[in-house]
Amino acid sequence: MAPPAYVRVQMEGKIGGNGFSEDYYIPGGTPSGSQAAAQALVDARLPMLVTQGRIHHVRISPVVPGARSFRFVPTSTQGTDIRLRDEPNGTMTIGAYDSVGRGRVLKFHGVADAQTSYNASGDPVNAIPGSLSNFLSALKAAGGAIRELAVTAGAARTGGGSVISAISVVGNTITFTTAFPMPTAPFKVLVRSCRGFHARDFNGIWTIGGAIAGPPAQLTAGVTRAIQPAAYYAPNTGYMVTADPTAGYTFAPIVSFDGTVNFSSRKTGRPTDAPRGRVSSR
Amino acid sequence: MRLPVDPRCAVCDTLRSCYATMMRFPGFGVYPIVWYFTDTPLLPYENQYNSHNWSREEGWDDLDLGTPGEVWGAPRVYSYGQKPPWVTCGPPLGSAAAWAGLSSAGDESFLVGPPSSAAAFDLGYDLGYES
Repeated sequence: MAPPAYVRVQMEGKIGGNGFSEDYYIPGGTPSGSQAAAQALVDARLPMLVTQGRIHHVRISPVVPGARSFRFVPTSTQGTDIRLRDEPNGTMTIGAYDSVGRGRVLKFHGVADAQTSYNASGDPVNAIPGSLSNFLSALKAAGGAIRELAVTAGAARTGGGSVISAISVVGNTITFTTAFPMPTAPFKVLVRSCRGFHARDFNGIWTIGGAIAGPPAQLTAGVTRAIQPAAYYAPNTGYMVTADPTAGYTFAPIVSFDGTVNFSSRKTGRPTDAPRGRVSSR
Repeated sequence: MRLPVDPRCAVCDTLRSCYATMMRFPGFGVYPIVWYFTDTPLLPYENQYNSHNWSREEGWDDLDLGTPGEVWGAPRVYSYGQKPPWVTCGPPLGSAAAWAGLSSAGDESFLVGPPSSAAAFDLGYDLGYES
């Protein structure tokens, strides 16, 4: 069975004069068809948001370049936690994990000041509030997932996949030899961890073009920056991952969360429904 | 200029600040557009012609895939966000299919902007430049 297509649910909110957004990934076909599921997430999120905060818009879109989006205003936008708010940049965080332990930290803005507090010993008061438990349950029930790169760098580091066995430079062409899983050229790769004499010159993004010979694959790119003429690459020390936008992402359902919360900060910006234009310099 | 859609002030996306860039329209090609602020209701359709501000990921600006909507990697010039004078507000024009990027200017099209709008764009009109 094909894995379900996922959409990104972006909640756009504000706390006073500060704006924030939060992203969640849930299974969904079309953006507009996912409105009910997104609305359910908003409904579960609002009890965790102070009354000075609002989630004023929700944007739904697949995570592919050039995807369609759908926007709607939630049926209820105002937070329902009546306690005083924390400072706008303050967040409550909790780790979410997939079945193999890969994680993502969820950050929630607009929580109550009393929630993000410390005890007399200076330790965070980190009990999971009921409203957060309810939201996490709703996220899990909706099929909430962690986004991951489709081509994993982990395979390269363990000796498979995209380890670069050789690099040569002839004239204005640089050639990487690898067993990289290849899209159709042209595409971009990110080369990392090259070792040797001036081998860092090989690191960075390269645009692979033309026919790809192999196996093992010979990926060629134009030399677009200075490489030390005597640069030497120690075989199998570097690896590459795709920077190809068509490669996309994979999604792993969330199966567990941390048992405690922590506090952090994430800088808020100007809300998208602020007064228009730039602030006058006068 | 005839394009498959015309928002006529409908909210196509929410932005913190506006900019001018290029958009690709099926059956028409690439055309300069400018984002401006408006207080009218949200566009009621799935929208292919949205801002990449909310969807841009690392590397996506490096390769334009030819899809309808904003052109990946196209220049983005700050705009003050004023509504261009040639824009008439009203119900958005274009079917749901057109807004989804599935219908082209050959199927349905609307007059958008004055004939000189492209030239005005080139001259930096309404882009927030200070003289």
